[in-house]
Amino acid sequence: MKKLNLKRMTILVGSLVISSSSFAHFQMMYTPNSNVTEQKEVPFKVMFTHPADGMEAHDMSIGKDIDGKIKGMKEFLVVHKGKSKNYASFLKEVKFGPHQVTAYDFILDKTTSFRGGGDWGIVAVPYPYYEGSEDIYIQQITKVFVNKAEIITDWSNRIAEGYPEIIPTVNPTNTWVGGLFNGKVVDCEGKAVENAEIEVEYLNAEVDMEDSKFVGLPKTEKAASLIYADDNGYFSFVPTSKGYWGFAALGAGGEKGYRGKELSQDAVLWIEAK
Amino acid sequence: MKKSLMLVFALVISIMTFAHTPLLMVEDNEDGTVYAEGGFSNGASAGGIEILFVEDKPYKGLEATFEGKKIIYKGKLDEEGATDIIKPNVVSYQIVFNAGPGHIVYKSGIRISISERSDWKEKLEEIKEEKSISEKWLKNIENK
Repeated sequence: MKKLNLKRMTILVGSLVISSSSFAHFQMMYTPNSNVTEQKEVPFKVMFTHPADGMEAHDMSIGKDIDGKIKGMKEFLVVHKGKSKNYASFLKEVKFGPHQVTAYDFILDKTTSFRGGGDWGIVAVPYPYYEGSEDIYIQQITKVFVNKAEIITDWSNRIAEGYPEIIPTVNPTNTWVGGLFNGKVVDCEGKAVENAEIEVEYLNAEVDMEDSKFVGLPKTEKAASLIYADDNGYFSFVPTSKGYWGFAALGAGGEKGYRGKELSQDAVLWIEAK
Repeated sequence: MKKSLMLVFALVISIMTFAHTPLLMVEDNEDGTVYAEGGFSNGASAGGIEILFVEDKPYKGLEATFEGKKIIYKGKLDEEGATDIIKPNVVSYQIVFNAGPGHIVYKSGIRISISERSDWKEKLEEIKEEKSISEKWLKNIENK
């Protein structure tokens, strides 16, 4: 009897692991420090990965379709003081990780709206990625903030109009380990997504900005979780480790399709816990 | 009861007074001017707040002073809480964001570099022509 139970449990655990890993895709825009007060330029690494797995992460080419064609980034918005500009043409293609998948480098500097102080919101809108194991397309509208001189300008605003979005209600560049982080999930029209399912992952590695790869041992075992928003789209989370945490509200864009397949249009937000 | 309400009210006001820290950032435009931007930690606008250049030492003369230092220039931030100002022709100075008592921030000024000296002269002539800065401050900025 005990043997049977163990076998059943193994199958159950196995299917849970497969299930969770199939949902743990994360579009990322990474820069070493979200406080950029002393910087004249801010380098970003833009990649599609499984950050909680650290160096073992399975990386994917951004915007790879069912035919294996890589369409990359559709829009790459920089938002500052309410003004939004698409800098997709400023992205430099790079190869990321051991499998040399397609990723990008981006530099926020004088040529890309980096002047003065305040928040800069970076919003990535990649072309949908075909996930063969689920036979669906995934498009993660992803947002991250950096801040200069502690001046507050944009972080609490809706900045990805027309797309699903996670709007933080705690400053994402001034969140603390052990402190409460809150946010609200909204759909393409800015309406709250009731009981949104949210994958949470911790960036469980260092990023080698020069060689475009993860390095170092995993920092923690507590690197992934699943939470739900309340009836009004609000959710809470307490970061347990220092560094970047990602929140992916699955299917926040509503029921959508792309090239005859189901499209999961997710809203992703990255915050840095200090 | 009335007294306790007043106490609570006074406490709230006191907390509000301290809940917005003034902020100032200064950047070198490298063209003979500096960029100054103010703000508050609670996101309140710094539009119209006073911005000053002052000498980096105590002053006991007859000209206008701010906290015991000679004022080189006095102006206001624009509606977005920022401004570009021509650098003063002095070795050392301070930039002051003056949002009232308890809300004052000082930052070191950025001096004119050799490479931008000709740009600076050009800017100065433009300002003289446009009369965009009063003669009183222009005299201090030019510092002949």
